[in-house]
Amino acid sequence: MGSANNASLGDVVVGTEVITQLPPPAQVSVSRGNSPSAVLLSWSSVSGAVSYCLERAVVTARNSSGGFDEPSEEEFSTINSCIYGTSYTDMILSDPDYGADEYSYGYFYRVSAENTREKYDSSEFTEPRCGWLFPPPSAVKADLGQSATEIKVVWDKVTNASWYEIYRSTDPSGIGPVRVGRVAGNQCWFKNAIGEKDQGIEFYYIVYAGNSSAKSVSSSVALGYAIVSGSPTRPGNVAVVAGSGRGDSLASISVTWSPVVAETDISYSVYRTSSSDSSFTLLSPSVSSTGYTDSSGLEPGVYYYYQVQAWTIDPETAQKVKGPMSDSGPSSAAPAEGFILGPPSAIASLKDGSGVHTLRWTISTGSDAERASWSYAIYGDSSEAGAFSTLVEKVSPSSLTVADDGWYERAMATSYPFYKIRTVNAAGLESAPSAITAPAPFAAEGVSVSRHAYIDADPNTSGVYPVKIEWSKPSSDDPAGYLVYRSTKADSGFRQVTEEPITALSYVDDNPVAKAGKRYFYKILTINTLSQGSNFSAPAYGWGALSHEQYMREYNKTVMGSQGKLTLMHKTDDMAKLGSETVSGAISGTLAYNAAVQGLGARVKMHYENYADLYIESTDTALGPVFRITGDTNTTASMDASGTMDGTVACEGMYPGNVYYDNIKIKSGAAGGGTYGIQPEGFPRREVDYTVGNE
Amino acid sequence: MKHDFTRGSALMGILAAVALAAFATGCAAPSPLYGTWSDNQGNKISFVDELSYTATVVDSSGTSVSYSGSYSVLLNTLVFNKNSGGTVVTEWDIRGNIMYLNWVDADNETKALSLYKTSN
Repeated sequence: MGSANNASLGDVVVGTEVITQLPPPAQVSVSRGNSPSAVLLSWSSVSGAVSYCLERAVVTARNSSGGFDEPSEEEFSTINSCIYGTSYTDMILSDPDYGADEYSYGYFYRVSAENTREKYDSSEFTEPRCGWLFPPPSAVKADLGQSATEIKVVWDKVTNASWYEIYRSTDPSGIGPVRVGRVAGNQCWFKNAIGEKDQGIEFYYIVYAGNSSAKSVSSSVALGYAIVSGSPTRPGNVAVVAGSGRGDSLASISVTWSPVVAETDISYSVYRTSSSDSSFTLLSPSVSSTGYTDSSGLEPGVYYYYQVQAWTIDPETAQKVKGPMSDSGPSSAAPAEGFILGPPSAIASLKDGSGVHTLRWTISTGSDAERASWSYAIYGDSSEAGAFSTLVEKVSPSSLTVADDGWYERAMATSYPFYKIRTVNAAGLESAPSAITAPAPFAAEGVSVSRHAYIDADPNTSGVYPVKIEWSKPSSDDPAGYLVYRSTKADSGFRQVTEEPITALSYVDDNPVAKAGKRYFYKILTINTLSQGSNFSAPAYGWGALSHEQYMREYNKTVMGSQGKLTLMHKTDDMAKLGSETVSGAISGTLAYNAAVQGLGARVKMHYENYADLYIESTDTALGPVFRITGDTNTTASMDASGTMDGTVACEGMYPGNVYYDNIKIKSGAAGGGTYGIQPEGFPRREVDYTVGNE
Repeated sequence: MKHDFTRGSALMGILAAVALAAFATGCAAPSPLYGTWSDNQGNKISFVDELSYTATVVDSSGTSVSYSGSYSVLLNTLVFNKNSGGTVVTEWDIRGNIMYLNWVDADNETKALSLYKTSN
């Protein structure tokens, strides 16, 4: 037998704990700045779990305190439904770049333990945990001719960085960089000493952040140079031309500056940075006048900043001698800031119970005074692909409501399925149109879920048929599609069942983990053609019918429980089994037992009258019993201990139907053959082997 | 007498069928399992008749908890069918007043238990 572990009697007689629902993982770890491209997760294992379901919600904006607000339950979506280990790498950026918006996002994760093989209920999800990527240094800037002997590089601090490395290149795109220094994580600047031979050379600086587990991608490129002795002075009064650069055009911005006085001929180089990209763009290397009009790839919703550099040719060396850059960048006290006229940068729409549409929008450029001089043209169309040529309203800011979040709001007198908005400046120039918005459709109505209904499909491995969810479209709306959500609870835990929106008004859910005796709740989300939706229907619940075999197993729980209460039939002495007795169900009804001699044999009658022992889900008495049974299960046997059974039991409750005993055979004093006739409501009768229910 | 015998046999078969339980027949000698047995942790089990047992087990909090179930014997195999669910199949042997049980649990570990007879 080999070595054996000493056991106690408890190991023999104490029942194994029956798992019905798994607990969630006790701990979840989410990386915060440990990778420039991925969020790394790990969690504690759950006893009894085979796999884990991982859900994620992305929060794209920080709150006023700089953190991320926890997303609502509906914002989570499954990113991997079957992870066999206890860790996961969520690859956010396959080709990370410093300009990726994802570096500013918060990623919330939650984990659920599952075991579909044993058909355990999935665990509750863990509390959401937030993680984020390791970003590169931002706002990298270098001196632009402030000194002849050094170039100072500065950048914004990166959370979780323990060091920074500074590289330098002479190529504007930063190709072929050479490392020039490394500083500790608490220092966000670096002074690059410049020798005489490097004066006047334009260097392009990039910065990496790093910690013990990761190195960031490179920052944006920052131009820097040291001046040469005798170079021209800094151009002054660089400014956007009034009426030609702040929402005055759709495609150009004009700047001007004061001339630099020198003994030699002076030319100017014009550079541009923007609110979306801090790297310098050389617009023109040689401007002889004191003005320039920029029409190079300008985008709406972006501020542009212009800086000018004066230069001359050294008569002795014939080399280009550059002066310092003008003090007109984004951090200047008087920036040369311009923008083209653009539409609202964000737009949304709502619909109230009476069907009135309210449009909301905000615009990202322009001062308060400039915005006050603009108006907004609202265009509507019946089609997403339409021309949007119908002007619904033209409104000035004074007639708009300003919400707490600073957005404009306008209740529409005339409704259209889709809207676009154009900004109109004081001169009557209209911007390009905004993105399309369409109000989220109303919630679906009359959601119903089938209960023990026959569905023309196969039952799952637990013997439970699919359920059919049906609903009506909102009476005063016409959604483009519907998404179905399911949960085991009425008020939380809903997961999307349909991967894609469906247009039908019904859905058959062949839930592979559905179990007998369990209710399932469903909600419907209506969405518009832009796949936007926010209105869920009220939840409704139902349950699938049982296969004939499973029906017998579930029914037999009530029967076996009732017979366990009888005393006469369990007497050791056969003669003592004769007689009558009646026992009561835990919920309702009775079982009457009567055994008497009949001829050379005997007849045992058992009559059930509204007998019920078990509540649905054993929790809520208002739900009623799983089975409430009424009928007879009688046995007639001859003196050789063989015989037959007869009788029919009608079942009510969660699974209405009938159980027929007229094909059961008694052989050698036991149920030795034949079949139970099982007829769930809505199904034809089918014969089930006498051994089913006693496996 | 004959009539009583016939009637009794028929009833036995019928009632067994209704209860869906197997009745042992023809045992003349009492089972050696009968009686009360204890392990060395203060737990007790009583084999009440040919069908059932009752046990008292002290749990981790010191509380005595009662369990019951049925059992069956085939040669040197003893099968415990716990009312709370689950079955333990074990070899058994009685030497003197000590019953030795050996089985393999769900984790594939070999277990050994000695029970001492405390009363008949």
